[in-house]
Amino acid sequence: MSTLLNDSEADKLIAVLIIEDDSMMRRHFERVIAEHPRLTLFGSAGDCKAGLKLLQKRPDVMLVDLGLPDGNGMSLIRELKSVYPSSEAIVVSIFTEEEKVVGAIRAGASGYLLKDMPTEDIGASIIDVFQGGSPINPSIARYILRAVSGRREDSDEEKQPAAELSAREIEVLNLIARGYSRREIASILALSTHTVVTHVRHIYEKLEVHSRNEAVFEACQQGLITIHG
Amino acid sequence: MAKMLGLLLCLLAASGPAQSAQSSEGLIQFARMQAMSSDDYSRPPPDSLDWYEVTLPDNWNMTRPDRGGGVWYRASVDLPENATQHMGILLSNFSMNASIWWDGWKLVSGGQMEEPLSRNWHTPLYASLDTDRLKKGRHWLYIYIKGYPNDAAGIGNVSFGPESILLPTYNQRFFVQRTLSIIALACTILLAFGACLMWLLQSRQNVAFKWVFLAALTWSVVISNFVIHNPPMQRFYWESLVDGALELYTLLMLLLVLQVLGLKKTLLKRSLALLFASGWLVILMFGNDAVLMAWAMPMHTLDALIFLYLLWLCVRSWLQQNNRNAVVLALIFLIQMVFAVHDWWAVYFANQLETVLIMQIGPTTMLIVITAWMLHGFSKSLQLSKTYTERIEAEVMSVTDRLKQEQAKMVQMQKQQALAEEHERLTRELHDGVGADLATMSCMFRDGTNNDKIMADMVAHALLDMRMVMDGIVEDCRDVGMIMGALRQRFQDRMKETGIKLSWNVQGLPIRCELIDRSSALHLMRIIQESLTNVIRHANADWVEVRASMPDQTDAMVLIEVIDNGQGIAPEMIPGKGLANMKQRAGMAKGTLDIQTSPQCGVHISLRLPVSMTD
Repeated sequence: MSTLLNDSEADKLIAVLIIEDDSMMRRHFERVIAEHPRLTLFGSAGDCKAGLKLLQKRPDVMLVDLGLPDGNGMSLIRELKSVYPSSEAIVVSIFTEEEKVVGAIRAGASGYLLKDMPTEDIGASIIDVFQGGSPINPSIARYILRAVSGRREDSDEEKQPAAELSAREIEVLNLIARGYSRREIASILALSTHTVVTHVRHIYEKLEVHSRNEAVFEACQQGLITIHG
Repeated sequence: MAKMLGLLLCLLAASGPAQSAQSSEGLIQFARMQAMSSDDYSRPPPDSLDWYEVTLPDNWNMTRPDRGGGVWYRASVDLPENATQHMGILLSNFSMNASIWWDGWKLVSGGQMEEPLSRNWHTPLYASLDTDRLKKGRHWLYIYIKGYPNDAAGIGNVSFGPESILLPTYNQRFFVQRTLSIIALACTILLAFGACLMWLLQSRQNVAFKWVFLAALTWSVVISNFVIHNPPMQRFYWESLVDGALELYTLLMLLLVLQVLGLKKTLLKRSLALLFASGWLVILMFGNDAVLMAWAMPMHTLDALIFLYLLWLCVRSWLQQNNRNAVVLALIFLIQMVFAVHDWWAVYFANQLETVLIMQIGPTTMLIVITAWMLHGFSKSLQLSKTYTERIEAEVMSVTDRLKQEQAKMVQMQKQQALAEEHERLTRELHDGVGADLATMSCMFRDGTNNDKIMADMVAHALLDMRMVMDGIVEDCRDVGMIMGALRQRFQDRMKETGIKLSWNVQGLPIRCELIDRSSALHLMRIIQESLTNVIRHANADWVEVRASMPDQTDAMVLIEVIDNGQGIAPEMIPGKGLANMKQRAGMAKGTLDIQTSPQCGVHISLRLPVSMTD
């Protein structure tokens, strides 16, 4: 994924698919996207079934709520990423859902949108993600840190095997968890903001790869697939 | 056991003292014999010497007091016809040694006639005669006796008759006097070994076994006097050894009884031990046969008295303390007493040369019974201790179960209490924060206030407050850096709106610096939230710095400062509700809050909270 887009691509409107069961919220997002000069409404659905049909038509970005009446949005993310790896999935979440957000990132999501975000930020966040940005906040950083450190064995959260993050990535996560912005982190670590963003992107990718490996491992265990070698 | 006892009683009856003339055909029991003192045991003295008449049995203690040495006895036997069957000569009793001669031929001898004399303590002597020696006519029977003065020497009954009658009698007496003594010796040694083993196995704690062991050991010395034909030392030393063992045996019995009955009697024990030991040593060093004999008599009487005394102690213990052990012990002692009384009677009232002495078997029997009884008690105590162990184990199990239940209950109660506290905390925070915002909004709606901006602000504030509560309460995070991060995340948008520049400086905070109390997280957030809200609302500042550090690693206190460049707080405004609330929260988090302000120089809030460093 590159942030260097040529003019024709940059001029192209980003097609956004909305899958959200709360009709008020769905309409809110529809309005914001329709009004945004660089976004276009690809379609919207209130459940998994309808969403699954729509995502086959290749949206650029899919906004998805995780708790849908007929299933989990996570499966839609996996489906989208397997059919169109270049399309981006963004989780629509309310606050303190870090666990679900990280779960979604592990499933292939590239970012999240908070439901009560200021209206003017929604479009910017979608464009940011589409252009390769990886939104993160202290809560999510904290959650990932906890998951990868494996220190909190006494916590109630399900134990997820830690992905192997580099020392620098952990350092970045620690700074994010302490409330520093990307720009501040870049200046503290003497890096470019772009590098910090890349670190976050790598962290997400590692989580996703790790998650995929786990899925393969589990499938092997259950005898669903056989590896010859 | 009963069989053995029966056999023993039969033997006692057979070996009783009243073994006078039997009127079986051809059996002669000599009532009188001719005697002649002589130390020459190699041949009978000639007829020409002056033989004198004696009555049998001839007990030297009475007929030759204070005299030992040798005496020839003789009697003539007239056979009317040539004998057709084997005949025999039986010496039921004699002491110490004897030889039997027939028509000038020595038939049999009890052993060595020279000093030290072979010991034939009441062992019978028998000589067999075949028909060649039993022709019709007169024959002469000679018997040579050698003995010690005042030592019950002499000759008992002498019988001549058919071998078919005499040999069984001889065998019977031999069995009682010698075979039984050997068996008793073997048993006693075994007993000593067993008791010693029991004593050692029980870590030398059961002293009774020790006394039994030593008593059996000493008694085996006493019995060997009946068994050993030729002692390996001079007669005086041998007699001294046997007598000493007998006295030691008495002393050990005393110790055993006192032990079983739980009595002390230290003086008695010591004085008896001293008497026995000193008497024995003095005689051994300075005495001779005569002194030993003279000393032995009163000592034997003393032994008897001591046993009577022990019996009395047992009876008294039974009567006074209803001590069942004492009864058993007394009954066991009676066994030995029966043997002892028999011998005592034999020695002092009957002519002991006519009886057998059975005392050698008595103590052995008694010791066997005592050991059996003690073993019975021991096995019972073992069983008892097993029962106790099982009972204690069961008790421990039940106590453990109860403890576990109590613990589970306690944990449950603690959980409930923690839950109740958490519930109360959550309620209070919601009431003071979101609740208050919602109440205000509700009032504003009712009053018809139609300011969308204010309404949106209120909603945003309520949402923010709710997030804070969730960050502080719902999430279990005590890391100060992360709490600060969450705080900034929640406050970011509001600060942006106000246009106040936020300088975020938490770099000085070590990683994994945690609040000691989980509930302190929300207090920390609330205090900083209140400080920042104050800056936004009242300070009129354009810059605020939030700084977190750990100035001194050793005192485990984290310092969080909020510094603005606003107008400061006027002195009359200081005791506001908000500040009081902050101080109270700092106190609840076991920390301190310090506010420095002066007009136009901003406010400097310093919050110190206790932390712990985890790895």
